[in-house]
Formats: sequence, structure tokens, C-alpha cells
Amino acid sequence: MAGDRGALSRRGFIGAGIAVGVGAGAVALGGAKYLGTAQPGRLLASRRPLPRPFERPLRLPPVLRPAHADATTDYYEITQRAADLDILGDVKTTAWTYGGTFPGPTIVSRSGRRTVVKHTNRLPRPVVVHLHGGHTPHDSDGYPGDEILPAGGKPTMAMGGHPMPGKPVIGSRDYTYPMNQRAATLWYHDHRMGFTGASVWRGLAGFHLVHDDEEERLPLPRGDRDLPLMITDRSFAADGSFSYPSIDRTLETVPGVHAAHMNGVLGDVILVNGVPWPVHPVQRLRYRLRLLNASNSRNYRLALDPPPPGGKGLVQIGSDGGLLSRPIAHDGIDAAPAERFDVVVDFARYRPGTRVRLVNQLGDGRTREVMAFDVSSSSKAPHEDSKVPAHLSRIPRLDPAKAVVTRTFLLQKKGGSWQINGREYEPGRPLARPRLGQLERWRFVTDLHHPIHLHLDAFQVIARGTRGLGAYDHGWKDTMDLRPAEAAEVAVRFTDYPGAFVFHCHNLEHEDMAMMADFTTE
Amino acid sequence: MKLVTVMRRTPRPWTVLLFRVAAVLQALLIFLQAILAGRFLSGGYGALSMHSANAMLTTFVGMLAIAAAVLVWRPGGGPARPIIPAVVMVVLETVQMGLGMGRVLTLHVPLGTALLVGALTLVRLAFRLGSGKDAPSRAERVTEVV
Repeated sequence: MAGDRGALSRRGFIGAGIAVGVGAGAVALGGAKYLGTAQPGRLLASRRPLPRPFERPLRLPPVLRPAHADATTDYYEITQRAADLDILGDVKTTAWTYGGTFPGPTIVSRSGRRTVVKHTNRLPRPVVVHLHGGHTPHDSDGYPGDEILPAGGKPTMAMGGHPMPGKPVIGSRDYTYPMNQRAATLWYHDHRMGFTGASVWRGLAGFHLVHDDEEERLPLPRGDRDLPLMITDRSFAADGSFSYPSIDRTLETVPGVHAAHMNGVLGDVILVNGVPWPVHPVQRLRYRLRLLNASNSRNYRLALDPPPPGGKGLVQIGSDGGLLSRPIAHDGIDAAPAERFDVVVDFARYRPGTRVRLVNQLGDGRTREVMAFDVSSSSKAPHEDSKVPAHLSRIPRLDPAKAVVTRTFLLQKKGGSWQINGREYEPGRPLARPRLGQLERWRFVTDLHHPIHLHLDAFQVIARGTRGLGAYDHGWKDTMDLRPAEAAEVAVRFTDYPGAFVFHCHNLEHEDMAMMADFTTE
Repeated sequence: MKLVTVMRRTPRPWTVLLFRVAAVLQALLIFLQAILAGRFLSGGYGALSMHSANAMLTTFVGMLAIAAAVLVWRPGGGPARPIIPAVVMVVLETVQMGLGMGRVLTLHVPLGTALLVGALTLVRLAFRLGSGKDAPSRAERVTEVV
């Protein structure tokens, strides 16, 4: 009888093998979309009809003029205030704005020339301004405790209800940016402890561009063919206001969002520079698009539809930290929250009159669309004065073999919060004390998608899992998208400024629900 | 109890030993794969590259198990049947590596579980061989059932 069972188990074995194979095949054919990596976030549906796509023209945020300037410094002033914006066409949306617009005004700095921005808070809640990608001293980096309180306002408490270390001020604060950094597409946004997601969703985000001689010498498209594009998703309530699932609707004490949206809030309206699904006329010339994913948690795979003949329509020239060493041509670009991709698109590759849509291949339904470019119908292309050189910049490689310290960070959900190395964010308790000027290797291991962002300095990706760099990891990065169950490592050297800084997940709902940590440079 | 006279093939002991060693080693390595995966998900950074290296080692041992299963048959003089499950294991292990590298975790995790079950089944087969309990042929089994 024992022999009998043996025979059965052998047959069973082969049967099981075949079953696994057939099952795998069936799943692969039937549900390929469920096999891929799941995307973060949960859709919050708007309570009103969505605006129609490709009807409203693209707007470019106004470029802010300095209030005054001296030999070394440009001084800017921004008043943060509520404003009624025309986003949906038939109804006004009350937004929290930098100076009355969403996105806020674009600040343009020159590398090596100091920029001082005086932010005045006329909003009803505390604010903190962070220049994302800025090489900025502690005092001006927007450390969570360094709030600008409204008149009569109280500082935000840390999780657990105790005061945060830092210097809250009432009314206004000067942010001083030395700008000792290369040309790059930076952005500024709110960074208030526990309420960043809600504040940015309401409109607190803007571009800050840095130019330098190296970039200027290159024959890249410029002027009205250099377009900063801030891509965000938002949802709207029936009255046209922004809809966001805050636990504490007053945005006063309890941070974060309801449990259903803990993995991120997704909107069903895609805004580019604050305009739903805009359209922009282009000539049959090269354009530089500074793509910024400023969404709270949505990942995009941006592509051109139709692709130009021969494909590879998105020629990446820059990353978070400025120019790449040489261009990389992509069919699509994966952009996690806070990542920037400077790309050049040559619309001369299209027939006159083509409507080229920028699409999001990770989206569903209406969120598959982002914006459209209408290529001029004139059959004669105008004179092209730009090109993409094969060599863009020299990027010194950070050699990971020379790293003095290796640190590992585990990003994981635990209980009701998102944690780093098993801890919720606690301001004033650093998880690392890097020495300034010392090369370090930082490793990250994840459970789900976590776009990790380091303040103070950009890094270079060394490896993703057991492989080298991914297609979107090249150049200087300050935000890296870590995928679910992924291990990645970066080389980083913190320089110049001692003090407390933060690193955190840039899925803003994760960030607000504690996935952040201090590191203190010394 | 009824005595049944069946002609049993008793393979040469050294071939059986080889097959058993390979089958047991394969099962242990697959169990180690699960441990390494768990370690990696707990933040053990190096565990992922060990998981990757161990996958190749497991498949290599799986190939040794095929070779051993062939030796059990010729020149061992034992049954040929264990060759098939040994081959199925290596095929699935190769698929598993592809799924892992391609990050198709939806299939990678269940297939990993199935591979552990398969590896243990192969161990069971290996220990039946030559112990007088290895499965007789279909015709012989009929006699036995009677």
C-alpha cells in the first residue's frame, strides 16, 4: 500500500507541476494588469462633473520679480494667502496660494548668487516652506519646527502632542538660499508637520529654477520653448472646493488622512500648472519640458501619444539635480512624487497639425490623459536654433567603494503609521549623524512604493536590487522611487551646512503619517 | 497479511544515495530561499543578493538531482520515473528566477511555495527508492491490490 501512495504522489507531483504552469499561463493571459506592480494611493472621486480635456490653454506660472537686489543677493517677497481660483471654469475654487496663484510664482535664481525669499503667512494655519532640491542651511530648509505662524496662531505639535524643537515665528520669515548649486529644476512647497499633504493639495507649491553658465552655453530650447510643467492630481467637492480626506478637517491638531487613504490620496482631475488637462500650441521645433510630478501620491508613466515616428520621443537631458552627462531617449518616463525630468521633445518629428497628447500609462480612464500639444499646421517648419548635444555635462561619480559609512533604512507600514526603522517621526531624534564631507552609502528597503527624498544634498543611485541603475535613476537625484519589496542604495555626501535636516517618503500621506526622520550633520 | 511476490528493482545503493543527497540539498536550499526573502523584507539589505545567488545554486543542485535520477535508472538499474519530477523542478525553478528578476511577485511568491512542496515530494520519492518501498510498475500494482 505504501508503494501505491508513492505512485500517486508522483503522479500528483507531475499534475501539480502542470497545474502550476497552466494556472500561471491562465493568469498571465487573463489578468496581466494584476501581475504588475500595484500603484500607491486610493482614488477620491470628485462630487461634480469633471472638466472636459484639452479645452483650456496651458498657463505658465508668473515669474516673480525681486523686490530689490544688491551686489550679492536678490530679495523676493511672497505672501501666502487664500485665493479664489478659476480652475474648473464654472465655479471658483478656494486655494491656499503663494501670492494668489497655483502654482505659485516661479522664482529664477542664478547659481552662486544668493536668493532671499521673505514669506509672509496670511493663511489661517502655520506654514513651513521647503525648497525641494535646494542646498540650503538648516535655518532656511524648512525644518518642521521652524513654522511661520499666522497672527495669533499656535505652533503645530509633534506626534504625541509635545512641542517640536525649532524656532516658530509669527508673521513672516526670511529664507536664505545661498544657491551654491548647479542649474536645476527645483520647487518649493509646504512642509508643515503632519499637514503637508493637505497644504500642498490646497495649492502650496511652485517652481524655483536655477540657471548657470554651463547650462546657458548649451544650445537647448529656451524662452517660450522652455516650459515648466507641474503635474498634480486633485479632486473637487460639489461646490468646487478641493476635496481631501483629512482626519482633522480644521487642519489644526490631528495629522494625516482617514485610514482608507493611508496609502495615498489620488485625485481624478489631472492639472498641469493648475489647469485641468490643458492644451498648448507648439511650433514644429524642439521644446524643453521641465516635468515635475507634484502630486501627493500618484505615480505617472508619461509618454507621448502618438509617439513620433521611430519612437523615443522624450529625450531626457536633466534629472532632479540638473543636467545629465549625456541625453537618454525614452518612450515613457516613470515619475514618482517630487521627481523632476527635464526632457526635450522635437515636435518637428510630427506632421503639421498633429495633436500630441502627453498621457499617463499608469492611469485609468480620465487619469490616463495629462495634456495635449497642438503642433502647428503650417507645413513649413520655422528655423530651428536648438539642439541636444551628445555631451551635456560632466558629472563626477561618487565611488561607493570609498564610502566610509553604510546605513540601512527600512521603510515599512506598522500598525497605523508609516515608519522608518520601526519608528514614527520624532523631531529632534536623528536616525543618522553624517559627518560633513564624508561619503556615505545609504540603503533603503521597502514594503510598498516609497519615493524617498533627502534634504540638503543630492545623491547618486548605485543599485536597485541586485541590478544596477534603473532607466530613470541617472544623474543627480534628490528623490528616488523605491518600488514595493525593493532594496536600493545611493551614494551621498552631505556638505557645507551642519544641523538637523530630514529625509522622508514623498508620498505626502506617508510623510504626514510619520514616514520621516531627522539626520543631523556635524 | 498476504504475501505478494513482485519483482522489485533495487537500484545500486550509491546512485540512490546521490539522488537522496541532491533532493535533500535542494529542499534545504529552497527553504533557505524563503528565509532570505523574509530577511530581506525585514530590512536585511544583503539578503536580496543572497536570495538571487541562492536561486542559481538551487537550480544547479536541481540539475544534479536530474543527473542523479538518471544514474539511478542507468546504470543504477532502478526506475526511470523520478527523472520526470526532477526535471519539472528545474523547469519551475528557472521560471521562478525569471519571475523574481522581473519582479512578478504575484506569481513569484506562490510558485516559491509550490516549489517547496515539490522539493519535499522529491525527497520522499528519493527515500522510497531501494528501501523496498519504491513504487512498482502499474502491472505489478494490480497484483498487489488483489
